[in-house]
Amino acid sequence: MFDFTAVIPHLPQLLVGLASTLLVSLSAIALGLVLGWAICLGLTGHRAWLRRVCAVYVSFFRGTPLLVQLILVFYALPAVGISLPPLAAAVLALTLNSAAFQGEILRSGFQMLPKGQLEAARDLGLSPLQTLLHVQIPQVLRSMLPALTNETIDIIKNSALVSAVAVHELMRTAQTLASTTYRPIEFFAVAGLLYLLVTLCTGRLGSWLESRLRTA
Amino acid sequence: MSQPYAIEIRNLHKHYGAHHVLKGIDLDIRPGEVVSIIGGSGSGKSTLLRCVNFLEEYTGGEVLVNGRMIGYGSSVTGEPYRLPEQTIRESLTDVCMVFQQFNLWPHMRVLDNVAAPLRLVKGVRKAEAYERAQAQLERVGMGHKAASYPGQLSGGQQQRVAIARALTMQPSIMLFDEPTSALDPELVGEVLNVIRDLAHAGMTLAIVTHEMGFAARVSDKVVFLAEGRIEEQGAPRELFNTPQSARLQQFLTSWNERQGSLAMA
Ligand SMILES: Nc1ncnc2c1ncn2[C@@H]1O[C@H](COP(=O)(O)OP(=O)(O)OP(=O)(O)O)[C@@H](O)[C@H]1O
Ligand SMILES: [Mg+2]
Repeated sequence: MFDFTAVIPHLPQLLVGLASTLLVSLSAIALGLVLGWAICLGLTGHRAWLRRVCAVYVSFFRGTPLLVQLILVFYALPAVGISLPPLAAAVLALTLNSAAFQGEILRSGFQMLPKGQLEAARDLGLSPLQTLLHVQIPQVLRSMLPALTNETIDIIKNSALVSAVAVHELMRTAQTLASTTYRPIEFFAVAGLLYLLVTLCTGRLGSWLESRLRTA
Repeated sequence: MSQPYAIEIRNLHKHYGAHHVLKGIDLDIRPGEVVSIIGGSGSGKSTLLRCVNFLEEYTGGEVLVNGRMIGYGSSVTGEPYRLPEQTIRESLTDVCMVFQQFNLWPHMRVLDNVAAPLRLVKGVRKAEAYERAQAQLERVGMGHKAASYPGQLSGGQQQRVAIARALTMQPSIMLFDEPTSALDPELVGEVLNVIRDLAHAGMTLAIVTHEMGFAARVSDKVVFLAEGRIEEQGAPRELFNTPQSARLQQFLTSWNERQGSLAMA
């Protein structure tokens, strides 16, 4: 019935697909952290109009399906004259999405810190930058780590949607092979297994970092 | 002016929006003087202290620390303008505050809590910073907890660490905002003893407190605040034994009643 040996000759192709899945996801997470940081600053800043803009941004990317966002980036951008290679467009779409979530994670991390800790820092003469680096960021990173691990796992899984717009990552590769070999179950099962493997490793890495930071 | 006051407060006003919290405070504190500030909840005690180290921007009058105006400069036309953040920090290096909630940094060990400001603000090298931090921890009886995290300490121990952290910056003036109010009754004494030692060592102290007995024993002067004004001030003996204003009499009576009912309970 099932014949998993049919998958074996195609494993290298699947692994190449997995590599581009990881490339897309991890780039989106890293870039999303940078943009998320900016959004967090906007959300917590003094300028009312900027707070509004950031809040609308976050609501949009949290409240619409990722597939809609992907398609907008893929088809709407070229329509206004910006054409990106598929891979770059995929990273851009996932980055914009992840930034909304990471911005929220960061904001709640910063707001959890008691104000008194910052007043003590200021009173003792620390500059705002020193307070940020030595008092706020270490604690925010630690408190956001579980949420960041979840977000990374989400992005790895959600990156499968990118296959819909012609990026040859893991999902797309599995689809192609499934239809040429007529063995959809085997290929999708193996693809699922590879996703599971990667997300499990991500979860493990997250827990390890958490325990490291707790004792540090 | 032979010797400047340590703290000089002139016609100090503070508004939160339309809410007028401090309504013209005048207060002088000499170097080495110990001043206790008492008053009912919401009378403006914390706000007064926080204006001195500019955690709150005052909205009228002047605060001078060691003769230097805090927070504002005046332009050629005499208009006050807000000084740059860095200038304000520099003018406040002689003042440190101890908070009701301790405000230690929970991710750092006790020794790092105390050493970090030395290293970051004064640029003291690591080994020397640790040495000086350890010495201050010994002074408040917390040397044995240097390697612990704040969360592992009792409230009284945390407050003593917070005092050590402030002392390490070698301020000449310390502000205390209800340093024992968050503590279990049996831990109050250990913190008050540390503050008393500082008073005896000649440090300038401004202490907001509800510990009347302590205020009476250590203070050179007691200030009674009511609704954002200084209602009465004087030597502790006079102020506590022969209060002049009706408000202070009532405040002391209700305080005595509370103590009485505690003693009965
Ligand atoms: N950030 C703020 N915004 C608006 N109002 C404030 C703020 N901080 C304090 N107030 C108000 O200022 C008044 C004085 O507050 P303050 O904290 O100085 O009182 P306090 O004498 O220290 O009281 P307590 O004994 O309860 O600590 C209160 O009416 C308070 O509600
Ligand atoms: Mg108060």
